[in-house]
Amino acid sequence: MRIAFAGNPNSGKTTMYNALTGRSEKVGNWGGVTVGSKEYKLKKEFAGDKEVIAVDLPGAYSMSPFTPEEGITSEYVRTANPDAIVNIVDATNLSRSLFFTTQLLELGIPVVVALNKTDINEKEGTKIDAEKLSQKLGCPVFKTVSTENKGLSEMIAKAISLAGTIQTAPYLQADINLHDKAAVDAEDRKRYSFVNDIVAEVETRKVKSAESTTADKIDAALTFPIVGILVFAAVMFGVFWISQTWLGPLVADWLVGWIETFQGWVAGQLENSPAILSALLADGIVGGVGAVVGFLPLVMVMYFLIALLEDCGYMARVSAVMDPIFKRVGLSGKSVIPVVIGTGCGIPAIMACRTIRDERERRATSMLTTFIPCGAKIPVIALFAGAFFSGAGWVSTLCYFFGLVLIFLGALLIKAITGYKYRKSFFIMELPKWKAPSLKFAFKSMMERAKAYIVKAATIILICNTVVQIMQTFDWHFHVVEEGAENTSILASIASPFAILLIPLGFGVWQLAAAAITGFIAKENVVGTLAVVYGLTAFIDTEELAMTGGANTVAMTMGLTSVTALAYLFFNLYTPPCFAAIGAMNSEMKSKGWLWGAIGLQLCTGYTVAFLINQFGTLFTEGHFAAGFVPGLIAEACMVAAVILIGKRVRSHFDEQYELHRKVVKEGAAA
Amino acid sequence: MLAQFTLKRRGSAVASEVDTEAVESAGKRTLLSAEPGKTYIVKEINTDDDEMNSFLFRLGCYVGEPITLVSKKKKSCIVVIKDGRYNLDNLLSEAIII
Amino acid sequence: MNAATVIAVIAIAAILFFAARYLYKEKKKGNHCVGCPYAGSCTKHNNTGGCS
Repeated sequence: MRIAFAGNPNSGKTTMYNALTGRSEKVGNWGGVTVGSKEYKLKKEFAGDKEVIAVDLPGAYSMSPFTPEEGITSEYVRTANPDAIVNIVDATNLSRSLFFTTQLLELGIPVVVALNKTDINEKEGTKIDAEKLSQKLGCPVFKTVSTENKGLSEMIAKAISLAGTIQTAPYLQADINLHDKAAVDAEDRKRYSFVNDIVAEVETRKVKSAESTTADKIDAALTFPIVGILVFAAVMFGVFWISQTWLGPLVADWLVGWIETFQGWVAGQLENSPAILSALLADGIVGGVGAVVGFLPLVMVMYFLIALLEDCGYMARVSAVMDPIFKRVGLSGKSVIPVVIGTGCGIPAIMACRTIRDERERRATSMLTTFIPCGAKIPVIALFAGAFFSGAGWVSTLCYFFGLVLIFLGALLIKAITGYKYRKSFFIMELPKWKAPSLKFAFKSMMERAKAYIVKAATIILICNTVVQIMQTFDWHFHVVEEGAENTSILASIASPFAILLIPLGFGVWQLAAAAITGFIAKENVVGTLAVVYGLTAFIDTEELAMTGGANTVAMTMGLTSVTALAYLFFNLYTPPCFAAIGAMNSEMKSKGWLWGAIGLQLCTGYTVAFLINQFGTLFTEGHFAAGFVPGLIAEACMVAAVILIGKRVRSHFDEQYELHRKVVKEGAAA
Repeated sequence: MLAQFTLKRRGSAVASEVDTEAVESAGKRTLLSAEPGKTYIVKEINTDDDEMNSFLFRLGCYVGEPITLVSKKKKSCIVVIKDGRYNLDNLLSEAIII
Repeated sequence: MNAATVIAVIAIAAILFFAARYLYKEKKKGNHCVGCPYAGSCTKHNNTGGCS
């Protein structure tokens, strides 16, 4: 049996879906979070003996699709023939929500209305007569609070019992020609007046919506250009500081202490065994994976804080205040959402770009969103911050801030290449009511992410580390490599050619090249590989927090200065993301041209940023350019030339198109 | 490249100036000139974009319905449409005649 | 070949085996993004959620 959950965006569908199925789908207090339909079985306590599958659909305002998400909903409801529909209605906005409800009721499938967010109504003194509403609509109406599991069991029981019956509609759209816009409009208006009448009869409000409240004053301040952005910067700085400088490392130190002890123990046990075993198990597996897992606390805290931010409704305000800025670079405020999601993981961020209507904006956003460091890059940042900059908080903030700068620059570049087409791009964003973020939910979300992180570490990263360890221990004849002759190992010989390309960037060493390459499988691998290749684990030192002993050994072993370390860090952060994310980009771009353009852009960006930092940083600190300046310069020149060429080609192509268009318009005008 | 930008920018700026002037002289006010705290009735919606029109409609923003301006900023504003609060950019505000 | 060595070899083999098997099973299930927290709700490989 299938029950579809449909309703307006941000009405509480996904929260209810999670409550009923026990899943933890992504919830955010702004529309556009659910991007596809999801199916899962209802929990036993709700379904009883029957097997009931719940389908969570993206939010829609009506059956005529305006955005892809609405398209999914209306298509599903029309074609998949669910046995029943649960229409989740935001009780705080009955007049808007019922439009969709009346359309659903016309389908003939039994509908149960879940009047959600009634707790907010209680607080504000808004009363809705559910009985009367049920009479008027001709379907059962239940008051629910999905965040507190109130009213859910009764509602679902009713829905299940109604399955298979036929729904009579209280209002039927007249038979009109659906292609006649005027007729459709007229019908829609009639429907709205029907809805308005119902609302007038069943709803009594204490606080008129149009009245200005304290929340409005806060919103006005938060969306005020300068103040709002500063507040956002401060908030994000707070998030990064707490997760990567204070609380995160605090817990991580303790964890790493245990991992080190364990590693020491394993090594001790294998003292009398062949050295490769010790290398493989103690250094490769325990050491490599341990290095990555050691950063788990940082990632967890960050995810927790971001979940809180998303849940309270702040993100919609951020999107609104960033819109003017984003507009200047050819994007819009809608692009803010993927960027913020990107601080967690780049793949859902790229997926979230679907809510952007304008095609060029959408593609631009999806290729730029990975410049914001994702959760997997946090270990890399933390590693270098700790080893080279005494764990200073400004390092990670700089990485995110710089990522944002790169997004802007990248957007400008894309705008320049594709040519600015004057297109009216409207921005409208619903500002949901502020709500106290659910700590329980944030905690649950954090644990889910933690589990995923560990799973990834125990599988992909583990295998990668093992392979790397083997490749660096043996040479091509499968003899164990001698001490001091590491560059005869398999790994060295593969990575060395790439290392040469990286000389102008300051880290033309095969070990670092190898680490960067493994980063494409998973960014955490950079840390893992470095741990394996340099035989290090103690990236976050327990006693040596002052980083006198621990960090300097790390620094010396890697042979990097502060300048080159920064260059290497930025290189890894701003190059193309892991393969999984590239795959996501591929399915979003739907065009090989754009995909390769994206990868090219990202490669060039990472290379250029590292090049500039290395060369000018060395110039600044040592008074001369670093090695490989000229070759690097030539490479940069080639990149610039390529960009200009592509730009010219794309633009002339567009001119052709535009010319044709103009001809058509002229003909149309003449006709 | 740069010249092209400034040209386009000037172009769009001129376009919107003309629009507002023409509209205002025809006796119509757009949401841009609304006062915060006041409620108006929507008289017309000129977005040139059918989908946008439909979308606004679904939200409850159509001819004959009240819309309240809550706050106004240089490039955007916050309005109340049928119990929901929305942030609109100026392009959109311009297209709503009150 | 002392006890520690034997255990170590078995341990390594076991760990790698289970890791590889887990990945294989996930691929079979259709889970393309291993370890990704959004694996369930992502529309990348969601057949029913086809967007234009």
